[in-house]
Amino acid sequence: MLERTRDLPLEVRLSAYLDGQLSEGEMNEIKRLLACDDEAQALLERLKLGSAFGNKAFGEMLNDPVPLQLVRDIKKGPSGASLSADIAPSASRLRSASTVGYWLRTVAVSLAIFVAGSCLGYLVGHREEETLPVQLIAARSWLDDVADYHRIYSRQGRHLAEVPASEPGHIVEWLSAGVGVNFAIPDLSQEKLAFEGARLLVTDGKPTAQLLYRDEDGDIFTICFLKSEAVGEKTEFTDAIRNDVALVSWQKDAVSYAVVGPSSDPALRRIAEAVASGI
Amino acid sequence: MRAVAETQDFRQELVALLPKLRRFATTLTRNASDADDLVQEACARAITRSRLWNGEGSLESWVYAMTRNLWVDEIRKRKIRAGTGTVDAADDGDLHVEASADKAVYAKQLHRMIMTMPEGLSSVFLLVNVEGHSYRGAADILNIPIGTVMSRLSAARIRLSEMIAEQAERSA
Repeated sequence: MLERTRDLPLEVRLSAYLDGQLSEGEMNEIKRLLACDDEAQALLERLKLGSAFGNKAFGEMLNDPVPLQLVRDIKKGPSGASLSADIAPSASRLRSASTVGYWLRTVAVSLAIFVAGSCLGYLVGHREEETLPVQLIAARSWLDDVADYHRIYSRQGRHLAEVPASEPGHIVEWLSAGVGVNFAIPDLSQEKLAFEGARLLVTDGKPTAQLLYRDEDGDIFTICFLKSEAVGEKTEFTDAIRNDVALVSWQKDAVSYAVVGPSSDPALRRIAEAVASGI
Repeated sequence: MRAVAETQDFRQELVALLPKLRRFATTLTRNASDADDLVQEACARAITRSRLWNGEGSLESWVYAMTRNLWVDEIRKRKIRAGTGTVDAADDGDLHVEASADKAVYAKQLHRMIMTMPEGLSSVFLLVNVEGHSYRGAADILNIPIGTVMSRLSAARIRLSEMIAEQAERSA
């Protein structure tokens, strides 16, 4: 609360009055002035108009899509001082000239490592070319398909699910048989996600289960899983982003899982942890 | 050393803050490209210094102040490296808002109009009028006296009302 503003220009005092930042005595003083001074009243209206217009204009700015590279850098970059080595080159324009030499040296070393690694990788990978590329393509394909399905079905307001959440028994029986994976529908109420139903998809040429959830803001999150090659222990979570859709995937036993949601949502990893322990 | 999960939470909070942080950065840089570079650098610094973040108060204010400090440093460097200043939105094409424009174009034009505000006004307006920071909070983030916050805020409101009037004149 500002105690004394009488020495300030009227528009500044009126602006503070609008924000309720004046002391009670000065608020009353401004009220009395406004009651008898048309110019002051007109000035207050201008300030209000400017406030409303500015709010609208700045509100629109929040709808600008966040560059995905920025999200990736923050989510996946290394911690500590080494992070700045991982951020995109565009940021280098904000770095001081004194750091340029350091980065040039870093780039030179990285290139040397890359070239050496490529040669070594070729020699090693050459023997595995029958299998490794196929596995990579398959893994990419299933997540790409899942992202595409998510993007399409999450917009289907009235037809979100193929089988509604009111038939949980049928969903489990139907998808367990269809996909060949035993599962339980995870309760994600702790994550403020309500189960909406399920779909049967085809990804990478295989039947894939999709369980759909909705959060309090109406955003859709999905859990997808399909049979895959057995891996034994649960693998680490892997983050991926496909345009406006983010995925956290992992494998356990002979099943591949992915939790999918809006790319701007920071809670996806936590949801994936809940799913991994509850499905 | 901070636990991995804790660091991950910090990163997630930063990601959630990105839309607002980009908007704040844009009020400082007044062009989108510099704003994204600035946000990237600020987030990198925030993660590097996340151990200094005690979890109390507002993460938003902490990162905003860091962003503002980075930008002040950058401006100082640019003044030294003469001739590499920013291109103001004011010099960047047509700025009037077409009533008939579609939503995306309209939003872009509003955005550009905001960026024509004199330096310093839009940051104060954003923090206080749009995001609800107190005068003291805005003053701390921007490292300026409260009196300057007050005068810039009223000047921003007046300038914004003038923009509407100018727009009405063009449309007439």
